[in-house]
Amino acid sequence: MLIIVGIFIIVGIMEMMTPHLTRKTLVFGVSIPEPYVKHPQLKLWKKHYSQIIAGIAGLFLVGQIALYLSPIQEEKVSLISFILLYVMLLLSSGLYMSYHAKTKKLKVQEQWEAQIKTVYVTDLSIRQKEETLSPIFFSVPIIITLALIAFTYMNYESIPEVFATHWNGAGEVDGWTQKSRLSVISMPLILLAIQISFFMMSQGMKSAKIQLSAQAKEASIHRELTQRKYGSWYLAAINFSMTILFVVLHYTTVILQDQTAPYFFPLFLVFNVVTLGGLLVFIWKLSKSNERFDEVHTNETAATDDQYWKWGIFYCNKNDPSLLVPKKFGIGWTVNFANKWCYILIAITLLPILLVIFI
Amino acid sequence: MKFKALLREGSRSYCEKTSTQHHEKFLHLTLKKICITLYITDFCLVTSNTDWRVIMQIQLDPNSELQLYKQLANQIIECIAQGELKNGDTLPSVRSMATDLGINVSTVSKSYHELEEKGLIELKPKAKAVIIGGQKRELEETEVEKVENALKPIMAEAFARGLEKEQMTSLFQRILKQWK
Repeated sequence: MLIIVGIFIIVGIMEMMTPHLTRKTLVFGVSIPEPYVKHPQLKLWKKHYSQIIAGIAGLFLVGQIALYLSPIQEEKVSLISFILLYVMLLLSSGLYMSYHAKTKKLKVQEQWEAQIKTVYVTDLSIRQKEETLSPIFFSVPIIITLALIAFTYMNYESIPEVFATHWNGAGEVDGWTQKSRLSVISMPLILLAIQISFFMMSQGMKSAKIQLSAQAKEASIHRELTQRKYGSWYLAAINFSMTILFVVLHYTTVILQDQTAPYFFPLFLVFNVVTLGGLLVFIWKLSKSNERFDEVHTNETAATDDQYWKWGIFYCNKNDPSLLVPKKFGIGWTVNFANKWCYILIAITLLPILLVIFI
Repeated sequence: MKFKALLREGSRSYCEKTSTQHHEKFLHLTLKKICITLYITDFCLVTSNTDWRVIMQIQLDPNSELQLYKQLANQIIECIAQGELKNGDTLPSVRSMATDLGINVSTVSKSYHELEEKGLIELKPKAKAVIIGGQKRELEETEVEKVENALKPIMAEAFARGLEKEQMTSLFQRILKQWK
């Protein structure tokens, strides 16, 4: 129960913070010309958005707690709480869409485009700076997993006919699987898929496009480098903690045939702490490196890329060779749908879900 | 503002030495003329070379008379001259550069081809552009001539406007000092 309530609180806070964490030139997925970043209407809308989200999240939290106190069966509770979570996310996306449309309208109505001067800026040194971690960090986990698969097949005969494949949040087994050539390596396969997608993402971060602002150049350079550096560090941290977790789980249950080792729960805990703590550090570092635009004295602004974005969410630019692009709304990365590798990335990411369903 | 202060100080210090009232006005006028010419020439020659571009920053102005591709080529050349882009360094690929700047791919491509024609970069397969300029080597006779031909009208204009030869040399040296 604590975990689900925790998820609700974290998701709620994240959604609330989102408009304040993005770059100042991006408001609800719309590019704002630099002279207008301090427009009072935008500030007001950001505030309203956070307040409404806080209200919605609070309401759902109360509903979730009421659910636990009501006499509904335990299996149904977890299903209902997941539905609740998705409804909450859906509602906040709806709210985002309405504010996205409003911001876009304001930009056209007040004719911002006509009063600014667009300049094209970049820095040649950024792409040469190796801020992201080297590919070795992302290939070592893949090699470990491949070795684990080979090791599993070497010990295939000694694996029992039925073995544990699923654990709940507390680290207790709640799923069992029949032994077969595929099912014994299903866990390493899922791990492998995630590791490969992480490898692709780490490469994508390196070549993602660089967006500098015209009036806060140094700050925007710093932000671009920070996003690349801590983005790849965070990815590597998740990658390593997940690899350790999966390898230990697989080795203990399939090879040692011990379904309830005492170190499972601490391992889950460590994994969750790394994932969540890393995210917080990433967000903290990024928001610290945000451009402030304290001194805006000309009407210059960097070129916008709005024409390549749909609703400020989907990016599709066939002239952009990069796979990843920093999100327009929120923190992190999204794919360039014009890059054919993105479909492979999406397929690999979906693979674990398909594996879980069909095995 | 800076020029005015310079002007006043220059003429005053000179007058203190000679202590003639008549001289002051004449000198003031001459100095003013020099400074204005210097300022104009300076502005024409060094306009794209101001201090903020210390770390390979590129900024293109669509309102400028100079075409975008030309501006980009000029700024890359300056990066090479300043030693920030060294022999063997790679430029971002045409498409990456176009996306970073937010301009057309064809504009960047045109710019890169011009740099290639000038023998400053080498376009390699897989969209790589490698710097080959910047190293010390024997220039051919025709190349020197080319530079001379390009430089002549600018210098002639400055001279015709009243710039002293000494000032021109010092201006030259000042610009050259920025490059390694």
